[in-house]
Amino acid sequence: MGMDRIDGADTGETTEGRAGTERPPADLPGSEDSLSRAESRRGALAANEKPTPAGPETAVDAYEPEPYAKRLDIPIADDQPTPREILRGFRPTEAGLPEIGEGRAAEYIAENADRRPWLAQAKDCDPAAMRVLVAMDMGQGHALERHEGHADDERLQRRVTGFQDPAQLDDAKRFAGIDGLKPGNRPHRCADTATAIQDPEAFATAFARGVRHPSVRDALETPFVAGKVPQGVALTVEDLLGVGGHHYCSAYALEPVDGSLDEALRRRADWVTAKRTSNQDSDVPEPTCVPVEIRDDAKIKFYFRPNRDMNGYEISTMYVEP
Amino acid sequence: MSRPFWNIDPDLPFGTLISVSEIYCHPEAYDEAFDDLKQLVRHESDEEIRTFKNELRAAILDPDSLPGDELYRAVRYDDGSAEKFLRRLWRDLYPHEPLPET
Repeated sequence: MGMDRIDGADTGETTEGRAGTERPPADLPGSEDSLSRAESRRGALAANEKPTPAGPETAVDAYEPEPYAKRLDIPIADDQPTPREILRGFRPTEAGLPEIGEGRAAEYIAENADRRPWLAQAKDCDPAAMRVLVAMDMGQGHALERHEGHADDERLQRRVTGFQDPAQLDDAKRFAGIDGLKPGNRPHRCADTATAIQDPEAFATAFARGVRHPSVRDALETPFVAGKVPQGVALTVEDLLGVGGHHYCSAYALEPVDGSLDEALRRRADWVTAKRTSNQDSDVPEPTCVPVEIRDDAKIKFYFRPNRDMNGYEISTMYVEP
Repeated sequence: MSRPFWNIDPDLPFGTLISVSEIYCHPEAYDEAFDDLKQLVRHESDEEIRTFKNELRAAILDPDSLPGDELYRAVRYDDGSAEKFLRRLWRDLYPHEPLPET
């Protein structure tokens, strides 16, 4: 299974000097070049075609994939478990999360779905996947709120263009770019790309499979030292979801302004500030974003954080990086 | 500690600066991450913290020596340039120390 630590070592392409303000280079999401490459990769994988572990990526984008639930009994790859086996083998405590059974998971959703709308999709999904999603919701991480199906295309677009946090349930605060999870009306932040694995079974499988990966295990089992956090781990979409896993991912990138991502970032910050301060006279144009193709060799990153008891670590988020 | 917390590629220049910045400064980092970093940098007896500070100082003095776009890719800062991000980082982490100057 391919794996890269998120230490920059997996991004060995030569790029132009960093100190300048002109960007993006061709390999960054949102660049014109990445879009043109995306266009050239379009192909077809029939919805009922059995995925095969044939290569690092399989093209396709322009069709609606079958629900990942229909792949739960198909091995991720040769000599690899099925998603259902992965989901059933998930041990929340191994991820620093509270233990929970399938029955209790359904009860948890019934009790909390009204005030935690990101649980809505979990209500109807496979019980084994539901248990993973509920365990995640009981932890401190934010992956479920911001990087699963609740973060639909519209919410991803609003997040990347206007810092509208999918986890913020107050409409006015969300519009103003206030973070939904941090205390004290602090601003929400988003990188130049917003992504999600929008199929709940696929999202749960990626998380559960990632948790068992040796590199993630190493991070989670790192002896606790206050203030220190293990470095993140990056696995590939194919590693976690199998060939064609990219079909279940969605991504939007801030659109560069006059070829400059830095200018787009500046304008986004100015636009959000004007919106937050109700500056009606602001002439900053509204930021725009573009869809970004996810490939099977794209990375799914795992970041870590101290657990609630401050004696170990848990996963703070899991998200796709194109 | 049985092994380094940050698995740094020894061949990557500024590897400690980049990886620590990613852990604590990336927009997807946990909520208290930057506050933790502020506390952490006080422990200058920690070799990794010393390395981090030395690399931050060197990068501020010569941002062009940073490897390609690695810092941006790791941190996704929105300051407009690596130099601006690094200077902000220094001011936030070492408010009582002057910015490194050539």
